[in-house]
Amino acid sequence: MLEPILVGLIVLAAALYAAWTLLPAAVRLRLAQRCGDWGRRPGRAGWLQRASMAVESAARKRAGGCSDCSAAQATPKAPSRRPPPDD
Amino acid sequence: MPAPAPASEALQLALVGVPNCGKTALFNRLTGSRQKVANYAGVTVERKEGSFVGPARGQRYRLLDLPGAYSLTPTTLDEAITRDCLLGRLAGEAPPEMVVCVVDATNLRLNLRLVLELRELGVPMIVALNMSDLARDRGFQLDRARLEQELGVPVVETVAIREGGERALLERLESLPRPPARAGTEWHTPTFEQIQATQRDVRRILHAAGYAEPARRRALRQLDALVIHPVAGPLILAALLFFVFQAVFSWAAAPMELVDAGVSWLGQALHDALPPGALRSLLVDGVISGAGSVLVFLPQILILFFFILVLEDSGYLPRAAYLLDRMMGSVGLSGRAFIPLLSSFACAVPGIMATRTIPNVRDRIATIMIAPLMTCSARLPVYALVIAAFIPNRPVGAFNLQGLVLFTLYVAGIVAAMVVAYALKRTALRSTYHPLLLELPEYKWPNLRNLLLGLWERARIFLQRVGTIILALMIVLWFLSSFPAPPEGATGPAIQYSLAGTIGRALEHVFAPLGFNWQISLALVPGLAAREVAVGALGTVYSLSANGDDVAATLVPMIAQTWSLATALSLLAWYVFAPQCLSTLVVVKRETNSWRYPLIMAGYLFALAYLAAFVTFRVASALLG
Repeated sequence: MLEPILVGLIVLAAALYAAWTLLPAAVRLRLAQRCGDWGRRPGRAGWLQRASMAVESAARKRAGGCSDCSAAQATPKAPSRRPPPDD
Repeated sequence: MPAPAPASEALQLALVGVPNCGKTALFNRLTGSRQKVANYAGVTVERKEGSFVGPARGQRYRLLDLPGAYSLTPTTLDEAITRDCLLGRLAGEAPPEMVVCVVDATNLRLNLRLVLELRELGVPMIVALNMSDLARDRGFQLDRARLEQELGVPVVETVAIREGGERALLERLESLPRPPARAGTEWHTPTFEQIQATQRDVRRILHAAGYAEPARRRALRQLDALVIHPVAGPLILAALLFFVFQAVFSWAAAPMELVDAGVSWLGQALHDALPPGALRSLLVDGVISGAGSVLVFLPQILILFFFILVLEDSGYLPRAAYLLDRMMGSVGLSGRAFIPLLSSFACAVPGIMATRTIPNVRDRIATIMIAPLMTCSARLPVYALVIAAFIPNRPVGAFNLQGLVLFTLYVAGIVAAMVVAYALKRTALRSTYHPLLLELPEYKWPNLRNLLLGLWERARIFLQRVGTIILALMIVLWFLSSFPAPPEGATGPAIQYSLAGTIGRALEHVFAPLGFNWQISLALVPGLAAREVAVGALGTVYSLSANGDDVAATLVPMIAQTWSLATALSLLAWYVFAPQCLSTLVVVKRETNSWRYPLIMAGYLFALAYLAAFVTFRVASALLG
């Protein structure tokens, strides 16, 4: 009886992790921010606050399945080619 | 003695300097980071951030590593980032309170113009004479105190690649009073006369500081004469690349066998230790057969990166760019495209970001569009798997046949990229030819510490991927391949009746003209997350496809028995072109600020992949019978 439950939990955790990792970085960051805001509300337990902060910081780390390099971090967009007004 | 700055608030510091003067090495030294460094210009294309604490007074510093710039007048996107950061034009980012202008002590003539421009801005500044040990060894002469006097700012010597090489900079930093916070600075593009005046100032200051450059060593001159010779140069380059791909197969054989044996032993041990059931199947068929079959390729990846790191550190790569400029120009590409394309051999993501160093927007887009055709390291496991299964490991003259085939696949990617670039530059992305202006750095012996750290970093990244996203996808795939259970009286392997089996057979209709069976078709789906996941997926699917209760054999002999040679060649052709990497498409969107280019890229690459695999399969089937 224990075996199917254990296998089910492993599969569920793997599916959630894969979905989270493969989400577009912007969506993941937005979700993590909401999670962080929720966790930091007054009256939340300390472990909940820590967990939500951990989720937030994890979301800022490498993006996408192919996090083969540090460049795949959630970096800002390339700057616009439009020159600044006083150039 | 000035009053110490309040230690509570971090002081905003920025590292600025011309490309390849050692800013990132100094950044790593100060902050303990491991940002990529190499002996060529344009490695850093965006601001990086770190922090450190001064050892004497406990002052905290927030350090920015900015892309290299020859002056404050940008010609490329990465130079614009540096200018905008210094002038306080970046949204949500205060301008740095102080600047450390890193200058290459062996190339002061080129470096000093930026120092003078920064001085004009009025930003508090320290000049770090980096590579001062190298300059001394090579016989450069300079009166540092006089230079400091002439510039009117502190000048310290640093050796960013040596432990303790940052000490003088730290001592000077901590001795200075904290400057007042800066607002954005007014700045106007200098006129031609102003630039000329700055250059005159550079010459005057260097003369006053007694700067004297020694003659270049004869041996280095002779080496360069050979390496960039129009005939000998390309031959040396071809031989070098050829040697690398031979080594990837020859040197990796023994460690790969060792890893393979370890993975097989673990699978067998788990199989023997656990009772039959879902948990055993998950661990043996899902985890060990799936993730384990990717792990086997670690030695090959490390050998490939060993050579890439050695070439990066030695100063050879810009010379290769110089050699290939004519070839790039003949298809309409800028010579500046070479370094981004070369970076794409490791991963297309940093390669695409490195295109920020290309000034012309059409040249930049053309380079982005062909970057995924360069064979990234994630393709290596797929290539190596198919080659090991179908290409005999025998010598052809002085070469190994497997290495030859791998070399051919890399060349196929390059040729395809050149053809696509030619088509793009003759049609939608037409632009005038921009001659290559590239600084050739001095040759250096690769730094052993950097090399080992670089290899460790690659191994860590690879193992982390195997242990996280690849493992997670293999577990999900195992679940899809195991459920629902086969109906009563079913005779075939359970996977045939599973959800994954159904998906695979549906996809088979699309891929059957390419010779792909349902297992290959299914493996391509998780392979979209990262190419090498397809290898793990094949491991899991074939492990579950094995009849009986035996632990499945390793993947190589299994696919060798199941696929035809035509199918194997067709899969290789598919992988040369297919854009099976979501991260690449996302980065293209981010770098071009538009969905148009990633969609065009995905469309043309999938079309090319399908066509190439179809033709390969048909021709191979006809020839091989």
